[in-house]
Amino acid sequence: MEYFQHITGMFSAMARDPWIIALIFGGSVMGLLVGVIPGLTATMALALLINISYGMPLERAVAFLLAVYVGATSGGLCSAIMINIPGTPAAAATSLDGFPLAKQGKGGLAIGTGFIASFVGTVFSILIMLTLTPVLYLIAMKFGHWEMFLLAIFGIMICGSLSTDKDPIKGWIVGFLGFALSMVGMEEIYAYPRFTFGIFQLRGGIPLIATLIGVFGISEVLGVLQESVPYKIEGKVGRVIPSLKVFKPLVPSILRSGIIGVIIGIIPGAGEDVGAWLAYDIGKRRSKDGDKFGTGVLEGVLCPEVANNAVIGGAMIPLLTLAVPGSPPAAMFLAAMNLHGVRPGPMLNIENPAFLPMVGAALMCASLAMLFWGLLLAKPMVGILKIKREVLLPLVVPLTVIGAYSGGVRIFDVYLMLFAGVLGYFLRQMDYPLAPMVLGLILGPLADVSFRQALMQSRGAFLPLLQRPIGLILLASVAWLIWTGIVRARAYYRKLAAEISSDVSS
Amino acid sequence: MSNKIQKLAGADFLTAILLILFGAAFFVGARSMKVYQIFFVSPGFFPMILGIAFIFFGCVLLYASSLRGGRADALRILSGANLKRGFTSPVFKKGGTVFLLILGYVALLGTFDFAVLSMAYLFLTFLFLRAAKWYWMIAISVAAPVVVQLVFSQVFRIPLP
Repeated sequence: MEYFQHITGMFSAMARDPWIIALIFGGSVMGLLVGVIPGLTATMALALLINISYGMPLERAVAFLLAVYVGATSGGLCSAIMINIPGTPAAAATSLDGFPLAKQGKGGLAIGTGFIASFVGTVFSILIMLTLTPVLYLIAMKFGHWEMFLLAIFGIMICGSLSTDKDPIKGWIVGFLGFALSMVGMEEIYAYPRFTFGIFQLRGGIPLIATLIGVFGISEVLGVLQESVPYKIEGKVGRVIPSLKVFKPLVPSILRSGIIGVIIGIIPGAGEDVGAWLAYDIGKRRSKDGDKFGTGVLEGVLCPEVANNAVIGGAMIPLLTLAVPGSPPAAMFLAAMNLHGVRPGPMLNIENPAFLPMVGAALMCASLAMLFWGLLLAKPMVGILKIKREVLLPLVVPLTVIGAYSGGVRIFDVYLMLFAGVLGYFLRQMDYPLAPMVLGLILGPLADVSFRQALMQSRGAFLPLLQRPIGLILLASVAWLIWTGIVRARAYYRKLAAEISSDVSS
Repeated sequence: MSNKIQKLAGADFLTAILLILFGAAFFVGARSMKVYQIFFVSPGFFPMILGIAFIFFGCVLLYASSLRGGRADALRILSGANLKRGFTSPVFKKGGTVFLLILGYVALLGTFDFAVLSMAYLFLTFLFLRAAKWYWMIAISVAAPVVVQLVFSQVFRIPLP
């Protein structure tokens, strides 16, 4: 009962604060605009706009950043539909049916359906988040050092497996690289400086926000500016708001895609794009009109859009209960919350019981703002695509510099951001996913400290782990992930080798 | 398609070698850290495991890329003729110049006023990319840093470099 009072109280508090409403509507429109531009992802939107939140009180910062997150995740659908280039990776599956609809002159309807689906997906995931999170807090309280260590390893392994379509080994390598980067600086048990090479600024460790900005911001600028693919807007936007009758037969698809999105969101680091592709694929197989998917059906737009937005609420569940972000933008949100002195994890519900209702209320308002702007500004947003990338992307660079600098007020952080950007660029070029690296950077200290403390408690013995049911489940999950990953990677490498040898012989 | 696979095989081969070297360095660095009481609770214990993991992953990647002819392709990638072709390709020149402009901008931070430096960076980048007509390039590269500086320092009270 008290919990529901917290939720309703938070809604009324937000509704009464005109600053929060203004920040939600402002953040939402900024997120949408960034999301529309191909090459600028939801993570980058948060990276660019996180610095604005530094000086804000916690409630306003949460509201603003979540509005940016929801807006940017949804905004990518406009370019996916109108120019067949997804604004964000989360909208890639949307283009499969959205672009054919645009060619038929129904681009506006597809955009409208996409925004309504995004709204429904977000609201669905908020309801699940508000229901599940308090239960998970109780389970998370039972997590000891062994469980936290195994959770960190599980996070890296599953994120590495899901973020690459064929080769999980590359995902794992990048995840462990994130772990390695997180080892730089003073460790938490003995305050011993590791891998600092005498550089004083490295004693505090690698700054998370500057690294994220580099990996997702600078590497994207470098990658996108190298390309020279011109945009071609297909057809006129036309009518935007669809008839509500369209949605009635699609209710099962909405529910299914919402559930898929939430589950993918809960899985550490998997992200919005994985949820969207999975929902599209399952939707295609389960729908009555599955054979028409890819030719321009609204259901093909709806499934990925419900799912990618449902990931948002899902990603908040592990973030709030275990401090493990469910997606890269959620990692950015976690970093921002750390700056505001909030430490998500099992103790959050005790230390700050109002935080979960605050996140729920902010997400709800953000999804309303996204729907409002999305339907109102669909046509002008398509107009933004006429601006050349060569003009837009260089403007991003000064913003990334401000973002990296203002976190710690050190030029050194800007240098680190540039280094992370170059590293991210090369990893992208070699088909390595970046999400596991971010997760590794966040989970590295948790894995290190939990592992050593668990060994300290058990005097170096591994046997106590076998007496812990949650630990055993996590251990079995990690073993299963490694086994299936190796089988998948072996099949993939053999297929590549066969392709090359058949090419050579022909 | 197979050309890209082949290229990636060479890149994977080189990455695998770098990974093994990195893992070995990480292992040695971790072993040289101070030991408190017992080794497995010392600061170097977890990094040592990471070093072993990198060596293992490097070996797996090395084996997988060798199956696809990675060694021969890595040698081809590192050959003088290929490097020359790579460094003179339009994509490298474009990407390299964009990067050098960012590098110069970051290196000069703190020496010039942020807005002035940003104006110079934006104008030179627009000029190189032929982003717009010359008067638009001047207008955007002057207006954007001024607006950014005003908004961030005056409205949001955020320190600028």
